[in-house]
Amino acid sequence: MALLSGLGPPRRKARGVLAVALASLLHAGSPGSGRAGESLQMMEQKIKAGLLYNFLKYTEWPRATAASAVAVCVFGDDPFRGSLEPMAERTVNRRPITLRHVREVPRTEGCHLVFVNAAERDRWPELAAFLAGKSVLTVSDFPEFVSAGGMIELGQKGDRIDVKVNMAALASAGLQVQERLLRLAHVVDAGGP
Amino acid sequence: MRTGRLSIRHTLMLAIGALALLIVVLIARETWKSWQRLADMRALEATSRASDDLFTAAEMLAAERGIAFSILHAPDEETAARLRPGLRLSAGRSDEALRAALAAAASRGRGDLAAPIARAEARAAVVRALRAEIDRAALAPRHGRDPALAERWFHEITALVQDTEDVWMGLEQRFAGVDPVQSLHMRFKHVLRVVAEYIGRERALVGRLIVESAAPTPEEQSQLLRWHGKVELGWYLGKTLVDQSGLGPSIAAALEDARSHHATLYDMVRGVLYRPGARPQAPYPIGVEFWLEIADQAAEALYALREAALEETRRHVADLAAQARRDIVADGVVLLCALVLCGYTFRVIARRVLGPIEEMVEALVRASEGKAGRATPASRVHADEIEKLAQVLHAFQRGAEETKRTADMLERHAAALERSNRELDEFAYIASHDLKEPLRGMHNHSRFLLEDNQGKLDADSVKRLGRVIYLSERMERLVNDLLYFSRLGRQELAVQRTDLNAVIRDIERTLEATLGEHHARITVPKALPAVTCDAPRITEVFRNLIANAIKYNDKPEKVVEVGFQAARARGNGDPARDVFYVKDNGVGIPPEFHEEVFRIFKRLQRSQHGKEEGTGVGLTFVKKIVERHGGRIWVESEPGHGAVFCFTLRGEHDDVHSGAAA
Repeated sequence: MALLSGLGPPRRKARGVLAVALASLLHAGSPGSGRAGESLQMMEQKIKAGLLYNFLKYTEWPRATAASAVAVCVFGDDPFRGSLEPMAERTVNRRPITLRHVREVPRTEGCHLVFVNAAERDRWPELAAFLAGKSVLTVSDFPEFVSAGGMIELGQKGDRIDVKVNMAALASAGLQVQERLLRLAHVVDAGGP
Repeated sequence: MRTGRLSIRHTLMLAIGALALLIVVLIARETWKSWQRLADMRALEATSRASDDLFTAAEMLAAERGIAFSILHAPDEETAARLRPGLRLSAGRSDEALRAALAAAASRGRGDLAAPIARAEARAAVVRALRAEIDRAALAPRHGRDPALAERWFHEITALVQDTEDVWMGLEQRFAGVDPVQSLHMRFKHVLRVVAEYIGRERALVGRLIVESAAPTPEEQSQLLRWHGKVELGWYLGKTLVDQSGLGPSIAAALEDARSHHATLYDMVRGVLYRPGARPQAPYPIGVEFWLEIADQAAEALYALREAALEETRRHVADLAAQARRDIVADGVVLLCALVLCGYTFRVIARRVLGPIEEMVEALVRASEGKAGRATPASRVHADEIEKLAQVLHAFQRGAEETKRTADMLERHAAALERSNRELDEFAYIASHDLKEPLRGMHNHSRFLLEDNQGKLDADSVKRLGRVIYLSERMERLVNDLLYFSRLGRQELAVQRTDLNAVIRDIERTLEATLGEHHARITVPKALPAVTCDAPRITEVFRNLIANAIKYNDKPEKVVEVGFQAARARGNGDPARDVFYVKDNGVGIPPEFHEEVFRIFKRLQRSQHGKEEGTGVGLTFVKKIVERHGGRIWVESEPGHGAVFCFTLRGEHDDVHSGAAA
């Protein structure tokens, strides 16, 4: 019953490593252990942050923009309160992810994905104009983002997250998303930016 | 060729044949090993595929488990109904995957896999029966469901996953020793299976909590933490295996992707579900379908990782198989080359060495038997050692033919000479025999004349008649000597073992008066050997030589030494063996007469007593007797220093020591 009793060979090594892994796991959970869990709101932000990974995974950028790393940019203040930070240590489609916090529009140059803080809604047209013709996946959680020419909107439907995808905007930026991603979302036809 | 012993030709042929056989056996053994390895690799490839099928089946079962678990905990019929098509699809897939995997395992495994396979099949039947119950429960309102069904389902399907694991372990064990890298791949896949299993459990429990909008109980939280700990450990072990064992860069990258995606998925829910004290009252911000979908998407990374590992395994096994095939081809080529080389060597030795040598030997044998035939083999194109040997033999053969012609000629001459000598002997015999009769008449008549006319004849006539009588008497002695000489040439020798010491003693007794008269003595410094010879003739030889030694001696004390030497250098420097000698301290003989003394009726000087004795045939007889015994005679002497007469018997190289040297 190797499966239930532990992790197969090498077993002697496994026991020690298991202890290390559990210790690290508990350590990772320790910041929250002082208070009684998180709010569901925080969970929502974390799910949104996590979904960015799925977007990166199922989006295909044109070859010309293919770099060794995938750059994720947060435009404006960080709405995820640092929960996006671990992303910088991970890889997607065998490429490392880099994380940038951007406040100026021109600094979005070189980003593969730009998450627009809802607070920056007013500067979106300026940003959209700058990004026009560039293969940059735009994501935001302010309402009517896709209507304003954004590509993926992390909206709200009832109590739950609702993902909207603007196929026209994606197409005009030369981006392709895989069918798998669309299973999470519903497609809106809002036209380009 | 002597019977019972192999000729060089056959020995060489056998040696080359054995060598060829040895090479063939050695290479064939290597080829067989490569062949076995190739068969192992093929079996390994097939087993690896069967093991991957089991992996797929386990994943499908885990996915089905999660969906069904969510359905059984769905708060309303609507949610359950939405999830049902997904469950059916998933059940169909897991059924198909499990059937294929167990069939593949059964075809690869031996008897030892029969029990775990049977167990898995029995469990699959239980799971199928539960599916029908779940399907019915999905249509019923929540309160109408059997609360234990979900637990039973979770337990049974997890046990089925475990059964597939047991089958997989059985398969893996059989190939643990075949290839170390392959073993490593198997171990890595095992780690992946464990990771997939615990991720699946986490996914199912989180899905249930989401679908129920329920907070996890402390027990559920600790369960989630435990499972997650195993997942983390799995990633760690997997990464260690990849880093330390060089499983391949594609696996490392896929592992990092899968780990990243699952860490991201875990980050989404851990704050609320994995921490003690979190008790959300409101519904979760995502529905269960959304959760199952993002969990599926993360699982895809795991599939990709598994695919990368499978690809790596296939590539490795293909490499090994290709290597084994290359080895077989290389062995085959080496084997072929070795055989060709052996064949070529065989042919070269047989045709260019042994064949010509045999031809030469046969020709030489024929030539030695006096039959016609050339030792030189037929015209050859190779200017090699054998060709040179043939040329040399050819030259020798020409020389031998020349020698043979010369020898033939010499033989003919010798025969003619022999015939001539015999005729001469016969002539001498006839002539002397026929001369004797008239001589006797002349002698008798002269005597009668002298006796009858005594007183009538004057002194001068008496003197002349006396002279005629003397001359006829002398003539008779000469004729007698000639007769004796011719008899020596014609009569057979009566050979017998003879003690020469006795011969010398006998001569000494015979010559006793002469020795005393001439103040002479005979010395024999060392005992003489016994030889096979004609004793009276050899006695004559010694007597003649000793008599001459006394006769031609001017010393007051005459010493005659008779001896034998096993080896002696002749006066001309040639070595001679088994030499008898008679040495004196007499007047000696000048070198120019060393040959002359043996000629018939030849006297060099008067004896030292002034009397004319004999007819001068003694040494001629001696020479004849020695030669009739197959020996030679010669004299070594300087005037005034005595003479040594040496002779051999039966040729120089014959053994005269046939008797004990006394």
